[in-house]
Amino acid sequence: MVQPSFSHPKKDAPATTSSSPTAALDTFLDNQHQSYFEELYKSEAVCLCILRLLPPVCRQIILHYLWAHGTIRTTDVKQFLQKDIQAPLAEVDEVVRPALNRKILHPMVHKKNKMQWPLNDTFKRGLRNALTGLGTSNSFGVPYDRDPNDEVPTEEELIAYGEDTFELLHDSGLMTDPADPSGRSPNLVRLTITSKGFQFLLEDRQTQLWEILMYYLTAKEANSERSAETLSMFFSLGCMQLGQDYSASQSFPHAQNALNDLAQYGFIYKPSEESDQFFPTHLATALCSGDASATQSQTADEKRFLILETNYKIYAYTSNELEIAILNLFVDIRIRYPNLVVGKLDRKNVKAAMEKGISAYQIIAYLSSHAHPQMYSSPPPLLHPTIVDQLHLWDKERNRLKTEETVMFEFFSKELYDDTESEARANAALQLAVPGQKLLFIEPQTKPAITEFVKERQNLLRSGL
Amino acid sequence: MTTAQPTAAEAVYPTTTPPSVLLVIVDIHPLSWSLLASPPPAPPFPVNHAIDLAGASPMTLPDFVTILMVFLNAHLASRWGNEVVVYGATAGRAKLLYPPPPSAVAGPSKPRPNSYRPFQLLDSRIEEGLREMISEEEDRLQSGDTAKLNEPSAMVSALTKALCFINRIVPPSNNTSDITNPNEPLAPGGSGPDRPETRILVINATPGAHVSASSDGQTNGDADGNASAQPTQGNQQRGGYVGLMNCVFAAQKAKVPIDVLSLPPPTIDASPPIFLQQAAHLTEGVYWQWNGRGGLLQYLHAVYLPPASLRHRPFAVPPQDAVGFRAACFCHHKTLDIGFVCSVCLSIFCEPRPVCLMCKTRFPIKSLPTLKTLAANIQSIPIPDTVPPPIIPKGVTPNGPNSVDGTRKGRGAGKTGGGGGGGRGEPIEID
Repeated sequence: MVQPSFSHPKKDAPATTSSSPTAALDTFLDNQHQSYFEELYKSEAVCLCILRLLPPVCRQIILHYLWAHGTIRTTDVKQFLQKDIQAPLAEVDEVVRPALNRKILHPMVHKKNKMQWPLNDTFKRGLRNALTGLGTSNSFGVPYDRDPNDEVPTEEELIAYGEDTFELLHDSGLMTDPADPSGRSPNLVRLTITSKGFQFLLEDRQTQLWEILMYYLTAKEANSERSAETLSMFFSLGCMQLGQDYSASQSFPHAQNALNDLAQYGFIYKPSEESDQFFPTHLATALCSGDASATQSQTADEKRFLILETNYKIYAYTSNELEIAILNLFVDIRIRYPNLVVGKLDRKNVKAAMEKGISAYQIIAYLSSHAHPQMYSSPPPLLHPTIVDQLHLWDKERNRLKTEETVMFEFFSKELYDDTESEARANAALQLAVPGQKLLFIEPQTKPAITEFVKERQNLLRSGL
Repeated sequence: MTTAQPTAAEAVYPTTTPPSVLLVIVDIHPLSWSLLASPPPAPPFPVNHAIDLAGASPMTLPDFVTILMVFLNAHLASRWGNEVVVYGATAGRAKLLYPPPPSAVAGPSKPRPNSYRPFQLLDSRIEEGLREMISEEEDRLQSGDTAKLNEPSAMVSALTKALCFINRIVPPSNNTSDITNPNEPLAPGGSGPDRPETRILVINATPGAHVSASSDGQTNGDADGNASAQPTQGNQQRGGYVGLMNCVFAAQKAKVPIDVLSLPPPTIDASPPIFLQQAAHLTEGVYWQWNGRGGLLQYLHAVYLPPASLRHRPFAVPPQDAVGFRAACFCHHKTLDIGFVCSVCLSIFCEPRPVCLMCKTRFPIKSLPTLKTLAANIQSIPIPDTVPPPIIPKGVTPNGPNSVDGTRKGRGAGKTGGGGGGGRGEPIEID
């Protein structure tokens, strides 16, 4: 029969994205060429960070062969992975695929019946130098020669500075309508937010940082500037030490402009505009640490301020302007106290937010990720089903009409129509059946299978008659 | 169970591993390192010409520490959140070298532009700590405290400290909770994703099984006689064997693998440090003996770098040689093939005793001759040598001629057919 082709491809998964915080970086790197990586790997910091971005098994294989003289032979890798020597090459290939994508390994070469992957020399040298500290590229940052009596900001001050600047960036930069890029006015009333912007706010901090940086980088590329220097600078910043000051001109002689831009985003702190000295803030130093635990936990606690009652009332214990502005998007704010905002989720406001492209899923994700610890003491689910359902219903209301591609079948014989309908129904290929006019609407990708079925059936019916 | 097992093998590989804490115990006993620095020439190795080409390479402590630092850096490099703890063990003493105690604020040396800051801190602090320890050793030598200098390295002390450290960072309550599924090291959700996995790497430089249990060759060399030396040594070494085994069982319970790298090549010492080998075996760690022909950096990376969660699956680990499960007796600290076990406190003795030395239990005196005749009839089971015993050139045995030591060494080398029998397998109960 025709079953296999009927499998329904559309499973309405609520888009579980954000697999890794560096997803933005990964997609960027995946599109680069060999020469780009050659330039990147001149910096030891990049080698170290790229190594850490590989999956663990692949990472260990690279380290395993780092100090070996020869190239990596497939048979050796198979043995190391305890695979059969006869095992298909694809299995091993899949394991080292990430390294191949990052051009750490060159594509496979055949030599005397032996298949092997040569290790990229630039990368090998870079990583070896990173481990032994014998490099010469100053990629871990040249410390600034400062007067011992100079005032140095403490780590807390740097963190506070980074937070403030980054939030200002949220306010002014990200919430503006992308159609109006010049509108960088911090006037909160005029601000609108897009679906993308709202999704951005839902991400964790590290993902946000990399998204911004990659956005910045692609903008640079669009201006046909070489971005390798800048990207390598990001990694270097990620390897720097919080609370230590570095010399801008010696550390990044070719990326001064980009460094100044980063100062605006709060990644680094410069005592004055044209000073050579700079301090990386925690935003920069947390870039490359897989789990930015310190900053994460701190912000995680601050984020929990929302109490949502079953009568749609929201109490938000916050005085953060940005959070209030976000709430204002879909909540009808009634009362404002210095540390408390009380509002109500109502149809009008939520639908206004949805008009801007914010989906019910996003609102629910926002509400649950900001739920006050008190909310956790009540029995699960965290958000009351009534409210979750209502939000979905409002979302549905907006999307009453949905367009879908379809294939229409028109029948003359009632018998053939009935058979085809039951067949399509059994295989979940049916979209709509109109028995009066003997019309069937089915999923487009099942068309060949259905056509075949109809022909077969037709022949059968005719021969039977 | 998925049916597509072989093809889905890649999907089984973990995508993340928990952060891993590596505790390294470095044996820096000066006498052992003087042996390693001037090894005897390697015997010819006709099986593999490439190996034969690499002659015996002397290994000095500075050279080795350089290699070790690169290895530790690689461990730090392989994941964010990985940590390193280093203990130094020398004659009778063990000391924490890294991380520095919080009270002593290490004067932050200026960051070097070409080394990652954590690497630099680690390397400089280890070097500093080693120098401190060695100068302390020199002070001891000058103050004439030679008796202590001849003690074997304080592995037990270092192991105990390491286990305490692990206990501090990983609360034991978590350990007991997942005792129900002991065979699932790969289950990431079982023990929480962020709970660090710990492992101990013992780098042994002291030849033979001297590590803790039996008397050291050098010790006996200048002791004024075996008989008079016994009681004092007995006290200190009882702590040795029992202490080591206690550490091993504690580590086993806490699921902390103890990896052992034994540096003395077979040319210096033919018998493996059996108690460390047992430790590695019991805790599912990796035991490996250097062959004395260089390549240590590569070996360290290849054998000891993968964290415990990636070992066995997917990565291969070097096969264990036949492990000698012999124990040391509590009275003379000889390594035994056949022992006599007190039925009350399970102490092990090398000969039948009317009164247990440990718990003072009295046994019927009549049973002693019977036991002796029975023991004489026991054929100890020979351990199959998976690795052919290396050829030992005459006259290079580093230890002086010594009665206790000599017999033990003879057994270790597998000279007699009955050597290396399972002493544990044949407990004879008195009474």
